[in-house]
Amino acid sequence: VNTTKQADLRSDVVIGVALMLLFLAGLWASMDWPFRTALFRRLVTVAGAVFALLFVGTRLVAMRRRGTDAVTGIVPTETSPEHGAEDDEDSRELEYVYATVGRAAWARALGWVTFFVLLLPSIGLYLATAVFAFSYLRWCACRSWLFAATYAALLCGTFYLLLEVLLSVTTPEAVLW
Amino acid sequence: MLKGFVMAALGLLVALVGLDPQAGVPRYTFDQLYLWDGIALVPLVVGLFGGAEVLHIMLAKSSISGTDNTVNSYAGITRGVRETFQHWRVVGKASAIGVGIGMVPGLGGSVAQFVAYGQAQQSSKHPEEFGKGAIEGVIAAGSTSNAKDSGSLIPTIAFGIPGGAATAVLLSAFLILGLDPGKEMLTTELDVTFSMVWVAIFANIVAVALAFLFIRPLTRLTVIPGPLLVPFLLFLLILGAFTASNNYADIAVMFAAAAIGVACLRWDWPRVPFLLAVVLGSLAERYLFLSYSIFGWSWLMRPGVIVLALVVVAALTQAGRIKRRAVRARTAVEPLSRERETR
Repeated sequence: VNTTKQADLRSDVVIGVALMLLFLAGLWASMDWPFRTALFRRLVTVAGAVFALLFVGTRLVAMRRRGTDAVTGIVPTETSPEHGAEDDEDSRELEYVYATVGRAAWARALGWVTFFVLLLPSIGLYLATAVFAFSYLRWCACRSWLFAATYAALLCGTFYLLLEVLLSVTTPEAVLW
Repeated sequence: MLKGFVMAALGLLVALVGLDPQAGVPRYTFDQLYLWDGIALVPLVVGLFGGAEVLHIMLAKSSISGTDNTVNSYAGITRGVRETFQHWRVVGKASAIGVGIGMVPGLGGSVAQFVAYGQAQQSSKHPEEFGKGAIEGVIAAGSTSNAKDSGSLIPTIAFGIPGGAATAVLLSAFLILGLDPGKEMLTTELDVTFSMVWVAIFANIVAVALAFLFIRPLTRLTVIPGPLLVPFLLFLLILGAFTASNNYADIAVMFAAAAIGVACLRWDWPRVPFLLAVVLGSLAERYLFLSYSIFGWSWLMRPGVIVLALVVVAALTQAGRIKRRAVRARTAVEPLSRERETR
């Protein structure tokens, strides 16, 4: 638990520093603009950089305190006041899944999303959905060929009828479709 | 709280991307024409919340609810109705908050929900149960959903100022029909105004009846295996984002927002202050510009501004106090539960 909290603090510091640099870059870019154009931007970036700096400071202090406690053998029971930024059941479940799944699962999920995104400009939204649905159900969810093909055809057909034929909704243009 | 402030500042930074409305100077557009109009809100919201959920389903490969709880759904309905009547004070207060916030143009429903939820938490005898299934929180947030729409009708009808996207569409419908919002709608055309009130009431009754009728098939959606939902949800995410301005860049914004949403959840950063700041950023800049143009820096010393600043400071102090109390309560509970587990 202590190692996890230390890692959380470290990630907080990294994100805090990255955001502080982003705010400072924003402030630097606004130096070329006329005063009135830059006014609100400067207020926002200065405030953001100050908040980020304060946040990083508090995290570093907490890390140091935790390190000292670990050396002296005291296990801190205090819960971080920043813990639970979105303190609802759904967010906690999402946070848990994101934190516990392995790198392979992440790579697989992101790979499937990339596959869909690459299909989109090539064959259009409807066909991309059909191809993705079939491939995803067949090889990721291990469903039968027949089930995957039927599901893909039904999904694509229903969307096409509803959105293209009945409602004439504009969908992303593709090279081949 | 500092995390919330940092995320709000980031949201404001995102909100200010685009052409400066006063001088026409492009800000953070990176020579991209798409960014001249700023970051579209729809792809941002879709990615921030929907994208994170879809990735969660892909990683977990389970259904949304995880377990099948649909068998006793009718028992749940009667319990829900009973609890709503039991908490009539929460319903009344949250509805009043919804109407009040709905009247303020640009604030929107999510602000009303958060304010009503916070008020219910503060006035509750068990504030520590909020976020863990306290029914008062659900009732407070739910009560505002219709109330704020009714509230937004007031400035639309009385002054012709729409409170949001829906009332803006309604206003254009008024103009097409030859109805002129303002004094006439409250005097000579009062019958039209009252017919709208009755339509709103009748529509709510019909909506509740339909919800009762289809509650069981609707709850069944939450137990559909996750992989079956993934292609369906990805399609809707991409289509929803694309319809903002029929541009591939909308899809890119949606995926970028999804990455931010996932990062926020993974490392426990709040998404809501970010979104609120994106929504309110352009409004804040416009009114800052107006105040500065009219009063210079002396607007900071105007009584209304001082009162608002004091209210903000008081709210922050109170929020900090509540948070500290919650941390102290958690700190007291944790060693006890750990002790119980070891036994």
